[in-house]
Amino acid sequence: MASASGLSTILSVNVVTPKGVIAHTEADSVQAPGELGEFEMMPGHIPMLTALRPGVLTIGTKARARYAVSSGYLRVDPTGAVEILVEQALPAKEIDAAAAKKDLATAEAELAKWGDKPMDGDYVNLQQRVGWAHARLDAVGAH
Amino acid sequence: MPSLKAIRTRITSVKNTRKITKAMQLVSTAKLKRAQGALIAARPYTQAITEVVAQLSAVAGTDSHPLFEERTLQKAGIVVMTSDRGQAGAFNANVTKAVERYAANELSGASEVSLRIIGRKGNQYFSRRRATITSFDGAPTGATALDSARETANRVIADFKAGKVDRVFVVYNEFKNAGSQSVKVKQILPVMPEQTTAIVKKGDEPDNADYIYEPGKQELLDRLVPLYVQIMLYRAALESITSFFAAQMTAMQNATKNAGDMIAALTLQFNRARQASITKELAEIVGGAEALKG
Repeated sequence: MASASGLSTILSVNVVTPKGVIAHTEADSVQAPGELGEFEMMPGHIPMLTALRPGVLTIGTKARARYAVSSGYLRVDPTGAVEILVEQALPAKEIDAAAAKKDLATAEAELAKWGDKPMDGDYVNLQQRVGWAHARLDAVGAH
Repeated sequence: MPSLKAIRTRITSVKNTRKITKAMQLVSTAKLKRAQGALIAARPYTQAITEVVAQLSAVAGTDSHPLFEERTLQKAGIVVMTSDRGQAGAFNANVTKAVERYAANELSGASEVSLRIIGRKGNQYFSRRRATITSFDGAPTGATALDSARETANRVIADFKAGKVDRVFVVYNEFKNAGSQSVKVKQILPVMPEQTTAIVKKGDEPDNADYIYEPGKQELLDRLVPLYVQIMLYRAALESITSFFAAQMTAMQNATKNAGDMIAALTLQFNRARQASITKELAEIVGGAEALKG
């Protein structure tokens, strides 16, 4: 499979969220927050499906586009096209760092006083809010 | 017969009402277009996540994940999508009726039916009837629908995993076109594998065995099935929002038309009353003149 895309030196990248396709571009590399750690992807990668955790997604090395992303996946299909599907994505320059800090503080305060209550869906909701706030702050370098 | 002044006041008041309904009609039309745009924008994501979940469940096997697990129906959960406001015809009544019908017929074997209600109208209806309401949230707008869907998805998934519910459905108005909406009942948990695999068979999926899966197929399903549940709820919410504006638009169109009819009828009544008073005055003058001639 790698040989089929062995000649390609460019990645075709598609970033999809429920609110629409937010980026459809060509790039020489993609840096993504993988479940097992940050990784960089180059053209000619073999087919892969990997989970993403909330963090910073960077597309391209020269013209860099930074996004805060929440959980989702990155898929390289056999043609070498990269599909990044995330539940939320926000370009770094559109991030309101103050609002993200406030979200983080309120969610963490609520988590702190959770105590012995069962860790149900609302607990997961708070954890995800914390993750998304961290991702946004990381993307603007406000940590 | 009401006085001329009373009729005139009534005409003015109905004219004002017509202005309001007309304005609301225009507002709903504009909002309807925006909501439809959001529905279309969600399509690529829905398609992609559906394909990936199908691909994963095909390689990992559907019995392998807790959210695919089919259990005997004892406790059912229903996510009820209504609106916060009325003035939209039978929009909310259709949903509440469908929920009651579904609980009484299809879910008659269940020992308990609990509701997670979205929208104030549904909450009002079911609290009056003392139904089991697990949670209540206000109706989302296009901007908050995704957050609302995420929170509801996490809650029902936790309920399902903890065995608090064996099956979860969502009941909402589906948008067909501006003139017609229909209530739909959809099962969201357990995730039905045939739903997903059917889509993959239609497409020309390449050989899935060539993929590297990181961290592992199981872990990927753990991360992605919740996103699939979320997007189903998100789409239901958008359908509901779109249908609400369509229903409101139709209701306001009818109200505007009715106001117009009423103004016509009142104007006729007003003119008759005016003519009658003129005739009466003339008769009095003529009568008076006749009397003077004596």
